[in-house]
Amino acid sequence: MTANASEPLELRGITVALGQRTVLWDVDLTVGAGRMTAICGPNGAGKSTLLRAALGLVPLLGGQARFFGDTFPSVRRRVAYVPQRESVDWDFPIDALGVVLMGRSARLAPFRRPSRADREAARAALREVELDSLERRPIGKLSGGQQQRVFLARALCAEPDLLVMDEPFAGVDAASERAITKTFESLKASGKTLVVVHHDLKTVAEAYDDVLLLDGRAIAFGPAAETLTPENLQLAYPGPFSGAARAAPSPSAADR
Amino acid sequence: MSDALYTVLAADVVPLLTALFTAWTCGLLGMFLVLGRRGLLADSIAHSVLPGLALAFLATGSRHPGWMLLGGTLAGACGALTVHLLERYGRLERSAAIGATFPVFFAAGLLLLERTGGGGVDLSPDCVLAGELELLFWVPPRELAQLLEPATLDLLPRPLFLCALALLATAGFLAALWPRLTAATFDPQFARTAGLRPDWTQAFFTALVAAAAVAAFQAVGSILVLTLFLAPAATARLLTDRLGNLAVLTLLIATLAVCAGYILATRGPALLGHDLSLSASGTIAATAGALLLLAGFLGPRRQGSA
Amino acid sequence: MSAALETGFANLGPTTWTVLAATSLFGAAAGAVGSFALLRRRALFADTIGHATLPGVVLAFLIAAAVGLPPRSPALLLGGAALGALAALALGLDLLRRTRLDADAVIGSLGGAAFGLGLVLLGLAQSRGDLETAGLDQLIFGSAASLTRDDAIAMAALALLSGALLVGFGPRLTALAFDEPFARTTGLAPTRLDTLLLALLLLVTLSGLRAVGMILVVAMLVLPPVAARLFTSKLQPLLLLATLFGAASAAAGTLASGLLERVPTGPAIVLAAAAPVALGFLVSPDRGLIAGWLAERRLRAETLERLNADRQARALHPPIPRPEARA
Repeated sequence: MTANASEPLELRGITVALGQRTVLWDVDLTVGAGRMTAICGPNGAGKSTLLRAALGLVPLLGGQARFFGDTFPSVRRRVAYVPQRESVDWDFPIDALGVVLMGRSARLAPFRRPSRADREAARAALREVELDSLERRPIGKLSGGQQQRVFLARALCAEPDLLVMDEPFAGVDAASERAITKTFESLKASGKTLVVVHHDLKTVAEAYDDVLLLDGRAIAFGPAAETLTPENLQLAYPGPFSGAARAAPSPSAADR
Repeated sequence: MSDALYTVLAADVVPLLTALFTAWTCGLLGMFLVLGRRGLLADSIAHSVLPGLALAFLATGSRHPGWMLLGGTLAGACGALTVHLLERYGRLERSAAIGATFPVFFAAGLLLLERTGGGGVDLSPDCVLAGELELLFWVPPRELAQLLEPATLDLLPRPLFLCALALLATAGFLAALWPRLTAATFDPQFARTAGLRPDWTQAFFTALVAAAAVAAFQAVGSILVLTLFLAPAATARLLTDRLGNLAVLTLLIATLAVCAGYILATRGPALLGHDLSLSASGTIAATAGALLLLAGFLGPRRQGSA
Repeated sequence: MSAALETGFANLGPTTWTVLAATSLFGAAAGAVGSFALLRRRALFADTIGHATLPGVVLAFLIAAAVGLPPRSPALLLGGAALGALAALALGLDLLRRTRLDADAVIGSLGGAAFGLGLVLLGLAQSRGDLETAGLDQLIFGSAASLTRDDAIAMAALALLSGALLVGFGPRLTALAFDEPFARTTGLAPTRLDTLLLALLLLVTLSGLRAVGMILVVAMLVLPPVAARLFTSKLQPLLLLATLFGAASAAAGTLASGLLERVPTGPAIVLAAAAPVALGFLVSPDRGLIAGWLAERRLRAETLERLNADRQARALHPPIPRPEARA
């Protein structure tokens, strides 16, 4: 790894406005290959928006995002995104396997159906998240955690080098949390890079290599132990009991 | 050839085929409208087609299907675009944006028709309401052997070809882009990041809906077409939780509605001893609605799982 | 043109002025009721209501003719229209409640199906071949020119009734539209108020049936409130503007149709109602295309400026040192 041009994800000066409001302000982030990075911050800190802006789902007001030293469209095959669970209609008539197969459909030419190899890859991905017994179940009949695992399997099925996930642990049962954590570990072991929006500060320190503390701006970034200091946390979460009075450029107060 | 067969060939085959092609086209497209929970987009598009038809006739002075298709599709796309702009920049709720668009386009179309004196029966307010299925007759040959000769086929009414073309285009579109359309409808964000270009898929889909509405115009008019778009797909949605089954069921239900409706209109009154025939497009739409109500009370998959 | 207008004005008889007053009242009622429907997201139910009046009207006509009542009396036809619309509404709401389908699919399917049924019945009625049926299809596209004084009075009465109900229940509907959970805690019954709103939509639809027609009547419930919404976000001005827009466009459309050759009333009224929407969408200071574009540009310029200033300041006075990311 000689130049930072080859880093899986590099954000420089990301600035985003939604409507008339600036929600992200000059955010930098460098994610090294093979590392697990968590993005933490209070509600409304712009965590999801940061991912969506990097992936081109939200227009940038300023700054740039590079993936593997290139623009996202030219390397999108190496990147998989797992959106928040609320973003889809769970009453859609499709089963777990069908959703996972979507991960392969980007590679299909027009008029082509998924091949036997595609199906095998999709089944393998479902096995990875321990859902192989439920592959024919309609997606709406799965529990929240199982739905999240199906999304993860869809991302795995595309065989990415970089996985970008938005709140994979939100509203997830204990079994699913274990399965997802296990998958993360095996991904890390095989040298994949993970960027995860995470809301539980307690588990961040042990599970992730780096943490970006975000509240409209990047408050701190680096190894978890160095980032999650009381001072930084007080900056990010100026709760009513912290006593830290602050002229906040951020849009919302913490409620956690 | 027997007289009975000849009568059926002359009076029934073309209207029935036209209605079937229309219902299949609309049903297949409507399936994705229902799945995307934006069924009334078809409403705005189907109504917006009308001024396009009138303007195309005004501009070219001909009612050639090509010009009608071009004008109608462009106008339909304009209607969809207006809804999008009102929603996005006027920050209106979607149903308000739709309600503020389609009656205006429709009113403009009616006014144009009235001002230009129509352009004949196939572009009159009556046709707008219910199509002109009854006017599609054919002079078939006396011998069965001549049935498929080019000269005979040339006598088939133009709307039938237009509807067949729309069906072919729709089938081709779905065959080519089924995975992409599914992904774009289910999870547009994922589709975008995976490089599946959902915006292009949706734009193409919208254009097809407009073209289908133009083709359907002569069969069922501008108003009943909405039921053909939505009712069979909505009915099928209450019967299954599998996408493949949904397509098959939608086609079956559309076929059932068309055949039952057509027979009801043409043969029903005679059975009761009256010498008249009813509006076939009307009975088809009413049958489709009745099937939806039936599924609403009895269907095995009435309840959503989300 | 002016000569044509002069003869046109000369031809406007006393009935015309009655009709003009009646359509204006309808427009005003539609604007006011439509505002609440817009806020409660019920606007497109008016589409189903409008389409579903046809089978009701024709059925009432057929039954009356069969039992020997005068089949063309306004009260009878309006009663039939109301019953038809109520039946479709009840079926539609039931379908929405008991199934997974969304309002789009239900509204679209049932509106067209009910209209199809109406066309079939209309064909039956017309096959009787008598003169009585001649005016029935005028309800579809509307025709102010054929309105009699009685029609106009019935129309005005319905509009006034809906206006009176609105004055009586306006505050509760407002509370419901803005904050349903809160309204519930204060003891309002949302279901009953929603039913009332649908009843108001029905009244207005019936009132506009003869002038605008059953297909376009939904436009008068949507366009004036939408136009008002583009100009203001406050409820009182919204109501006032919508009422005003509704009355003015109905009057303008009726006049245009009376003065000019071959301009049907319904489309004329709807196009007149579309004008303030188009205007608002272009120039509204809050939601207009132009204002939106300018605001976007300003935000971009300001942000970039602040961004540069911020970066320069940080270069001069480095803040808390950031841990380096490289591992």
